[in-house]
Amino acid sequence: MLWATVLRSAQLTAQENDNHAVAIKGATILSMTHGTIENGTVVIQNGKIQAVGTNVDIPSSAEVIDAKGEFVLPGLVDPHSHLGVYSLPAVQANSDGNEMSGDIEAQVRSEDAINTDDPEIARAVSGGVTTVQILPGSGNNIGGWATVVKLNGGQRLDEIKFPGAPPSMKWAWGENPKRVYGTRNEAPSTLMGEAAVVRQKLYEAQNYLQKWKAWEDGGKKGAPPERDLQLESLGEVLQGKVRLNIHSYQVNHFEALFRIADEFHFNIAALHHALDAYMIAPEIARRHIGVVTFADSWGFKVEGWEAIPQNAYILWKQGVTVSLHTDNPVIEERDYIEQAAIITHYGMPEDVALQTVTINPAKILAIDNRVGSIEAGKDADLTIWTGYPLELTSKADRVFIDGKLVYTLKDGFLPWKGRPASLVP
Amino acid sequence: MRHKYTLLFVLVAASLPCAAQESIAITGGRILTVTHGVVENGTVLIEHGKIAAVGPKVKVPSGATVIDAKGKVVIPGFLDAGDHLGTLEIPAERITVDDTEYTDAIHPELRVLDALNPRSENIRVSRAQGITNAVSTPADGNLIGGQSAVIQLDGETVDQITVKSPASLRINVGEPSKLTYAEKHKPPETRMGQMSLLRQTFLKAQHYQAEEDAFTKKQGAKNSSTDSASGKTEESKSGAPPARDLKMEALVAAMNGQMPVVVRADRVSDIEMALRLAQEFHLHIILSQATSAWRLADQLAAAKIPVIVGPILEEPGRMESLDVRLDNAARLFKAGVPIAIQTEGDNEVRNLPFEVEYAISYGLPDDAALAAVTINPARFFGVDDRLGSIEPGKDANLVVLDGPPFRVKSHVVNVLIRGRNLDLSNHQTELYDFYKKKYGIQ
Repeated sequence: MLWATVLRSAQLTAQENDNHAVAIKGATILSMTHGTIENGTVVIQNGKIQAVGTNVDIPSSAEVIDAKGEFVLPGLVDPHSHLGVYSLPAVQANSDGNEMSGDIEAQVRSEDAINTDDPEIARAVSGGVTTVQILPGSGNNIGGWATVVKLNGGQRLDEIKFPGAPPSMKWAWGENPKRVYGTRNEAPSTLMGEAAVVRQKLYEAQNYLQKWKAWEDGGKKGAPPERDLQLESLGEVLQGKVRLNIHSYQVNHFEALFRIADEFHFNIAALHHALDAYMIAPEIARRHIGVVTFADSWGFKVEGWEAIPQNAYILWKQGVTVSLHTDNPVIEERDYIEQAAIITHYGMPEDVALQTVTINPAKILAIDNRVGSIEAGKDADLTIWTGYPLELTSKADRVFIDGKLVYTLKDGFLPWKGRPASLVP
Repeated sequence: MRHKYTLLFVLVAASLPCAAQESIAITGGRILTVTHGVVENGTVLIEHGKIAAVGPKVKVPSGATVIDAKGKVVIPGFLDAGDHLGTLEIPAERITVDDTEYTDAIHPELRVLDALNPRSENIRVSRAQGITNAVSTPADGNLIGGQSAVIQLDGETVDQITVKSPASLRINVGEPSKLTYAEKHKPPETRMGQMSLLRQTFLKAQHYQAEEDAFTKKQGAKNSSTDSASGKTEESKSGAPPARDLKMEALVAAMNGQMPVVVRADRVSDIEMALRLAQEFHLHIILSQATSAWRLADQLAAAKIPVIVGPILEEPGRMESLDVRLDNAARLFKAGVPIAIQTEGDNEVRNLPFEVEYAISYGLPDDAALAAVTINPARFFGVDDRLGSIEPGKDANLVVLDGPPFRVKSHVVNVLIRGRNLDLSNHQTELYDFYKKKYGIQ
């Protein structure tokens, strides 16, 4: 990873924030980690949450927002989206999420494809979404590097990249890769083929690491081994430096992945989509693997046939860290909150449902020290909702990212205000 | 005209075995009749699968099964104004997909009726959320896709689940059929191609009808002349009738107003194309999807063109749908356009109530929203004598909810189709029950 870039973008974000204090008063604060605070106050300044509670000192210079009758929720965190790599509208020219020229694409990075002008960014913020992990698609067993971004409307990728988000990669298992390559009469065309192709590549990555180690151990004499982007990327996986997000549906997919992870001694951060995860919830909990799933999406493929809308509920009951996602554009990023509403319809307690779109995905992305809850010291990524956020008649009224007001119900997405629309009005 | 006899209209009689024979009374509920306001603490009496009485003071006959709906809400079952229920099971598996065929851009003769699978799991899953009826529609990849059917989501046979077939003829202008046939280098590759093909096809159908009429007239003249001249019957056998053509018969039926033509059109220009076609061939059209219809709301209201809106949650993903808005339904309603709401779904049909909640959130009044998934589509498709409201004489397709409709917090308690209080279990509820028990979850 290019750490210099990350640091530079952190500095930029800080400079661009405006430093005046804002106090949101009188709202019901849904903190996610410390319960619900009725008639509470949140003070934000310098891009951070300074104070939260019922009895909070408001700086005299602060701009006070009376949010009586409204609800304050952390900005939503979507751990699985294709925002910007499948920009609106969905024409061929905007299809940049799947490099399907080979089944192993560990070397490709979603950041090289992200369109920071994707009209969906403004639409997503209108739905209270502030942080998104952008993944390559699922056409390949190893899809490439993910990118975590904040939807602050920044023009350059450096401006929207989430500073310090841990490196993260997308893998995929099951029907998609074997359909892509099977129809070309190439490997993999079966689940056996998927495991064999990936294991073989991981052996090559092991050999690659050994070659470099030998050169380093030998005092770096002579020319270094030739660098190989793909094996280098997989080498980082083998060294435990990468959070793995794996698209997978069925129990036999999960178990193949567990076998490979055990054989090569790496961890899986989360199983994504994972519609049958409820069937082996205790084993997933035992392995401390997160699950990122749909609220209600079933039957569109054979591997989705056993899906039930209580998947998230059962996983939570069994102690798994469970998150929802949009898989934008599968479900539009804007409509993320509906996913949480739907699981409450099928029995999930409301407070947990809200955690599945805020603090839980932040944990799965290992950015929960920064976002996902309303706590002093965290990024001031907040949405004031007109009503309880799980009622579909409620709307985002104001959205703050890093303390900056980026959206109002009246004026829309402020960073792009007055800018001529491109294709999508 | 021969086509009147050759086009099979299936209208299921009320005495089929799947209608319940017992008397059922749903008592004490808040009844949203749709057409006659709200009855508080009322009773719906059901006999022989039909609604026998509705009101605050309905006498419950002794021996009637009572469903206590105190504190609950009773509504007509939802009629999804357009989806693919019964014609496909797993979209990614071609073998389970029967919702159209891409062998020709002009397929008016295809009938959804012939593809329906009453045992579809999608039907069981959908009805558990209060959807009792649907307009099952051919997919949108053909210029003329075929004939839709109004179905009910209960029954063992195609006859039992079919309420009306054909319910409409389906035409799709805009992107999908362009995409389908541009790949094959066959017409239509452009919107110009679409309209010229449609006009040529309907002109052919007009000619077909003219030949039919001429033959019938000639036969009539001969018959009357042979009647008067006794014994001369041989002449009446001469002259073979014009060859029957299924495609032409379906189009003639549409031109004669025997079925409405549902035109899927998104862009303003596509809606205008649909209106030109309707005017030229005197078609009774209903617009479907129509993401830009709000731009033409006043014009559509003046022309009394109904619009089926939906799916509600749609992004501006296609070049033709860039005008999509969450308040499309509300704007059309306020302008006076008759509207219905559809899912256009297969596995997602059960989320219809949540989609409608978004339309409400963006300005559609609650009662207008309920009408948009009950009486309005029933009227559009000519089944309002049986469906769409809680009135005596109609099918007892009723849903009991523990709260107001179109709220995530509300749950379906009972679903009745033609008086049968349905078992709402399905593959998913069975899986949930199994694992709940396995893990000891309450």
